[in-house]
Amino acid sequence: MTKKKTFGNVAFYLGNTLIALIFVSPLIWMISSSLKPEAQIFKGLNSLSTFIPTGASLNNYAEVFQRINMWKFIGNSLFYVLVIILLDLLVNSICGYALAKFDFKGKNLLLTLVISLMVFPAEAIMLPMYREMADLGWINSWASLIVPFAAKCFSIYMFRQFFLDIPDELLEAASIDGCGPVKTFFQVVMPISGTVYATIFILDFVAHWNDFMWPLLVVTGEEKRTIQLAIQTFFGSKPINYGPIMASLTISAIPMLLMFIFLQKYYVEGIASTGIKG
Amino acid sequence: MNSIIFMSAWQGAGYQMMIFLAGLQGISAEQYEAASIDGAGKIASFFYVTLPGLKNVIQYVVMITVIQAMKLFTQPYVMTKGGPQNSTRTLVYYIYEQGFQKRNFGYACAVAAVFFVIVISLSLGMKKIIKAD
Repeated sequence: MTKKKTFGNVAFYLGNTLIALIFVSPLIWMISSSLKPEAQIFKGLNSLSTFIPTGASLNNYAEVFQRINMWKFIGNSLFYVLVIILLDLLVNSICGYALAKFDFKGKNLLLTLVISLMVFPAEAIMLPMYREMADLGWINSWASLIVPFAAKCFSIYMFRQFFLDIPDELLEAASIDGCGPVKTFFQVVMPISGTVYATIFILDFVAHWNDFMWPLLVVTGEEKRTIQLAIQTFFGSKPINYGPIMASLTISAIPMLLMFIFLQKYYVEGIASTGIKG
Repeated sequence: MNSIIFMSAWQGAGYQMMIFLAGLQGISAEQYEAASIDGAGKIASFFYVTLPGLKNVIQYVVMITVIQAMKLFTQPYVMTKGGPQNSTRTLVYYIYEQGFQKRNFGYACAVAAVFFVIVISLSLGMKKIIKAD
């Protein structure tokens, strides 16, 4: 009886590991290609040896940093993602709090709008947004990269769901102690909402680090170029060496990996809670 | 097109797996016990306990995936630029091309409006078909 169970378990885990390896294999190939010299990358494509970095060296990474101003682009991406997240956390949490804890005229309409616009594809309004940015003179400025994404229906909804669970007695106690609504929010509600802030932080980071279409439209020239656009220049500029391309891709994946390693719990919770509530 | 399909499926699989994982954890063990008392084997209990319990999650995942598929831009832009003979020219890529490369701004906005209507009607249609509670 125990023997059969153990065999089933072993087979189960073996199968899972195999599937996991198959899924991760493109990433492993990318990392090992970024370490190989140029000639070796496409050499052994028919066998498992392509996953092993023979002749491993960091030459490709050096070439990436020499050919384009990679530090600047990484800095650009980091800056604009972090500012978006900061604004997002601030603005949307206040909105979610208002929708959860206050009653005002038009609240139901606003809530319906927020929920129904969650599935709205941003690409559909890209052109009018671009027109607005052009009219405001914001093309190729930080404002055009950041401001359109400062308010998000999804974040508002997540904050609202979380704040609904905060007991009213806590807020009443705060107001008895003499806190106005603003002070209550910043000094009572915010400190106990660490979970949802971390969740929105990581969901936003993933979404905006990978942003490609919008920066493609509003960023012209090298000054404010983000990292995804910078990687694209490698595909276009001669010589097209795949070693540096893989190296630049690995570099852009590193912050993601770090984020995921440290904030994995919040990421899973965040995705899971949106799925269940439907 | 096949390579884009394969790549997008691989890319989305992790995210969808996590949602399904969370959904699976929401199905209580008592339902499985009740099913096995009623004589259901593993396969039967999968079809009669797991799948109905996952109805909400399946609806959410299907909707999100369809909407993301309609929005597909980065993959055609990076990989095929519209593809051999228009085979990977997705709607959003078409909007981008018309609006920014061929400068038909008005036409591109019209396409975007139609795109919006298509997405909304698809979402509503899917909500009706997969009736979740």
